[in-house]
Amino acid sequence: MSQAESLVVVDGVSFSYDRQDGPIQTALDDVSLTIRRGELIGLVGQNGSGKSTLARHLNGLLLPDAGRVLVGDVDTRETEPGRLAGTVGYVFQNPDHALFLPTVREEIAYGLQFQALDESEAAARASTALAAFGLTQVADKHPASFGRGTRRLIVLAAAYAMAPALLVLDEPTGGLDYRLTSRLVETLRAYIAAGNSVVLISHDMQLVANTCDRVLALSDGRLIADGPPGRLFRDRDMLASTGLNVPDVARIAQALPETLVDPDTVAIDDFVEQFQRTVMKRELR
Amino acid sequence: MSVARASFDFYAPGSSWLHRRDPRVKLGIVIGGSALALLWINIWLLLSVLLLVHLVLWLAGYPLANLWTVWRTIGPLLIVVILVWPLFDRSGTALVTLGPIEITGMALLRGTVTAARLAAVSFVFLLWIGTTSVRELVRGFVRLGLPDAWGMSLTIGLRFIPTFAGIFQTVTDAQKSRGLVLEGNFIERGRLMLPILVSSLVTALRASEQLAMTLESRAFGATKRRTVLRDIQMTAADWMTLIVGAAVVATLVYLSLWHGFGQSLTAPF
Ligand SMILES: Nc1ncnc2c1ncn2[C@@H]1O[C@H](COP(=O)(O)OP(=O)(O)OP(=O)(O)O)[C@@H](O)[C@H]1O
Ligand SMILES: [Mg+2]
Repeated sequence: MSQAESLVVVDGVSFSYDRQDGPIQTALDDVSLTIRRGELIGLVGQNGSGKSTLARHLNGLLLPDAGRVLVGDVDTRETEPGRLAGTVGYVFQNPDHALFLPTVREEIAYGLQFQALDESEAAARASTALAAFGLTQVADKHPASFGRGTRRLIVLAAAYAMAPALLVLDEPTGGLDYRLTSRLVETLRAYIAAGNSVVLISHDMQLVANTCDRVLALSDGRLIADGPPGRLFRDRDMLASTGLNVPDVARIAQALPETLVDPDTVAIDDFVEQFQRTVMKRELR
Repeated sequence: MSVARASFDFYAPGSSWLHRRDPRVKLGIVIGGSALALLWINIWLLLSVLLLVHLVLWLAGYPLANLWTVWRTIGPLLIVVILVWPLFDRSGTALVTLGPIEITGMALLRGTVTAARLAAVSFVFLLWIGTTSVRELVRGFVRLGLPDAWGMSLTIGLRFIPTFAGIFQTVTDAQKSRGLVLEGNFIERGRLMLPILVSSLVTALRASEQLAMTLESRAFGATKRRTVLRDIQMTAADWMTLIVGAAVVATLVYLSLWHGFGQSLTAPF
């Protein structure tokens, strides 16, 4: 990979929260990684492993105690989160933290005012985002009137509308049913195909396995794995020691003979495709 | 460590002499101490009160870091008082003249005295809220006649302050992530803060809605008389403190009102 493609570089970052009670809590410990264009990255780890803390470093909400974070070639210490919002979008765990306007459409157009867009382009972007998340029908309703799932879609659409090169989503599928989750995944895939990148924080290993082509695993603030999901989910000892579960598909693939299915298979679609190629063909013969 | 603490709790747990006093006695100390601080205008006397209170808090094992946080919080206000006072007070001879503004030594001194008084009252309050848990604080009020339901609301309200501060911090971060940059003059910033206030309120309201449901499901308000797990009790030491304290305050008030004690700006008493 050439240097030009890197979007965000995290270089030896350590961070502790300033606590008034108890010992200082190391939330990130010497974490280094590079996020390139066109990547859909899963970020996994137990509760309190430092996922959100890492995410907050990517747009400068938190600044490292040691090391540095580069967005493009800007050090996050030399700018402000608000100015990075056009490049790195970050959607919080709780949608209520972001919503405040009287209609869904205004909510989605809000961030666009900070970008130098002419009015027609801003309107077009807002409409595209509304359509991408299936919100066109409810564009003129009050965001607070919806359930948690729809409120989440609204904040996702608002971040998407700003077309950041990197979109960081903290637990985006909480409150979304199967249908909405699949729709979100499709939207994200299209977004990646257009040359953008996504960091998807999730506790749902099967979702990560199905959608991501690279997985980062954090444990006690340390980056303990960074690579394709097939490799990560084969390392059972490491997973067990960090309390992460193996997705069902990976478990089945690892149990079957290698001649039927590649043991590195983790995504359901991938599994079905291989299975059809090998087993079904044999059956038909 | 670049984040500001999401919340700050004045209360520091402990088992010192001060911690063990009945909350009603400590409330009495606050009332007496504040009355004296407001009665006196002598700078040395006010500084002595501040010094004494710091000494007592230190002996009670109150964390110095907390004291520093209180100073940092009230500091800007104190500085504003000292700087703004001369704009309204023209007594005495001018030290500096800046166009229409005359700054006199007398005005600076009066500003400083007012600031010292504010600081003294703040730290006298800290004797009470810094060493009394929310539970005891509220039991104190209830035993002084506050209805139970109010006591419960007060407890929850006080508990909510750190939560709300946390929400405010998170919401600010969420809005920054959406492109908000807090800049410009005072009014401009205020306008930019509006989204943060709205979202904080919505989040807090949703949280309190949840809380109301939780309380109801735990049968809050079902009975008039409530059982209390561990009630507060005046001990002999509490009565002694109250009596000695009242005598000292009464004497000082008498001296101040009828014999001019602490009524000169600078004269040593
Ligand atoms: N504002 C804060 N103040 C103090 N400590 C914090 C704060 N936020 C997080 N921490 C601590 O830092 C560590 C990492 O927290 P973080 O929120 O990054 O974990 P996470 O992986 O996102 O967890 P979750 O899956 O629960 O969202 C935890 O030990 C947590 O208690
Ligand atoms: Mg988190």
